[in-house]
Amino acid sequence: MPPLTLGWSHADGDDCLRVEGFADAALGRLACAGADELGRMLPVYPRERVDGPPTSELRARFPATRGRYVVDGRSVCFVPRFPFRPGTTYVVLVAPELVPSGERGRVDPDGFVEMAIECPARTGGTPARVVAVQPTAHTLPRNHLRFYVSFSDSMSEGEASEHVHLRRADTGEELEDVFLAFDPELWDPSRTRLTVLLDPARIKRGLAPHREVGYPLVEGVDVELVVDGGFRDARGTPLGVAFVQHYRVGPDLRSIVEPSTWTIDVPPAGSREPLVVHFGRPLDAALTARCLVVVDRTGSPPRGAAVIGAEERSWSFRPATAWEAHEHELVVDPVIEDVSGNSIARVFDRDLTDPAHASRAVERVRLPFVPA
Amino acid sequence: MSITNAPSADDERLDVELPDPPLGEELEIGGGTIRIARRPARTSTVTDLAYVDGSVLVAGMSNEEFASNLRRIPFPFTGEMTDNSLEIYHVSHGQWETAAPIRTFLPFDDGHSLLASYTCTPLVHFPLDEMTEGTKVVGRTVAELGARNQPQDIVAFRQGDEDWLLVCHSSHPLMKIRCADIARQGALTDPREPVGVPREQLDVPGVRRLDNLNGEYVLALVRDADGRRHLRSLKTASL
Repeated sequence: MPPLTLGWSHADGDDCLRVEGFADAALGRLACAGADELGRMLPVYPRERVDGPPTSELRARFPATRGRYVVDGRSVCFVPRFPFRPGTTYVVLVAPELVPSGERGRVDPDGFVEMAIECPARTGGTPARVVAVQPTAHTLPRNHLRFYVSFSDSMSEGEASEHVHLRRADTGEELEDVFLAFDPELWDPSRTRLTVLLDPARIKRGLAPHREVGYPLVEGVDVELVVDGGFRDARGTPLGVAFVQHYRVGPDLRSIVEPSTWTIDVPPAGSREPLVVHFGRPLDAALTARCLVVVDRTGSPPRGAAVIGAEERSWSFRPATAWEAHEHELVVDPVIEDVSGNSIARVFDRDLTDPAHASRAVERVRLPFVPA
Repeated sequence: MSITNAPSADDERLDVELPDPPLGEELEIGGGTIRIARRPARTSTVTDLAYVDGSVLVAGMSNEEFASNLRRIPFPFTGEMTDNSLEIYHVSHGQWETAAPIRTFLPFDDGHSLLASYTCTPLVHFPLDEMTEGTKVVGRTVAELGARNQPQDIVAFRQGDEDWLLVCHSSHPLMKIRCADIARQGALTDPREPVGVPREQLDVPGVRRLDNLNGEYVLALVRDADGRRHLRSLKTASL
């Protein structure tokens, strides 16, 4: 009899494991087996499991990888419920009644034969890389809240806590427990932008963690945000190269975001010069991109391109066609926050005894301007 | 032992789609609404949900703004979704008022109130009856659950004649709190120990998620020292 073989294949467009080489009697069994019976006769485990307890105990105690079995001609395909993980070895345990006579291989006390195969890392193409970390500012306030790490390609999930670090710039010492746990990890829909929050419990005044451990950042102590080269992209390929962004740490930023204090460089009518808005402080990059809109007198947003300025301290909008000399508005969604989580409505940790911190109900803020 | 897919393909199901927040990518003009075309980067993740008195309550967090949103969706779903998300504030030690995403919550007082634990760790009690759209809700902080730690899940169980809560954490041990102590606990005004309601620590390491199996057992998802996950049933009488 030819030996059983195990290989990678496709079934109905999905990646699958394919076992071939069954004798006719075994094929007969497979053809009339239900899903549970197929799962019993051909359980699949990731290798880390198989290297632990003996396979007989494994089958008795641990659930196998979930998926469905497709009997396809003289072979059986296993299609996992969740995709196979590149770089992981999978083991198929084949029940004795399916094993051709003379089959060799590692056999457990119940006669199950072990077949193993590694899911290849999908090479080809260049590995992903970090394209930007925001804030781009050189100095963070001590009560800084949020970073965004943007990658050139979709990334793997579940790895951020291992591969994103904050360390002292002078000694290289890694700062412990500074991030909010990456549970859940906060990705954008394309899984190319990761949101990294410093632990809000250490930033908010009055909370026990703040009292006991203090701010994650210390004024005057430079830090580096590091994305190490082990972070794998969605194909399983590590970045290979670490990305390091250096920051100084300055005083706290703790006041309501006040659009009425922003300065606006109003463009000349008839030109396509950009409208430029200066915030007077660094705002959150993602929220700035989302929360500012220019509208003309009909209330429609003119076509054009918006750009966030250096260190997220300004925003500009260049229209596709020349400005007309009538009233426009910059419309600000009150969701907008600065880099420390202060918004138009409230301070991140409002001091109830400070009248300047009084929170307020805010609708959209409209800042009129007329190109002249 | 076997595990089957749940729900199965032929189970009855009703879907509701949570809309984007009303602010942000939409703009009202002359009574109509237009959507601003941008590559959407905002996502929200559901952190916990529960059914209470005709509504499904959904807590979540965004990858952008740091807000404390709790949505109340009438059930059965009608397909019409009005946005009635609420921002629930809590006050630390009588002086600092903050909002934060809810990490996990539990209906309390027969559904008249909620106990919520936040990404910034306080355990906060607030009455559901006061949750009407457009009102600012401020909860009462009844406990702080410790530094370098995040609460992960809460369940209630009965032991003898008393109701208890079980709280699991990212790094602290499993915690047991008497429900009656929460009712008695005034809002915290002093951040020094003891911080809020009395709690016992149980010697069950690595618990990451909890749920009620039945009156006699609580189910626990446990992560062992090697990072492997186990599903364990904990007898409530022994907790």
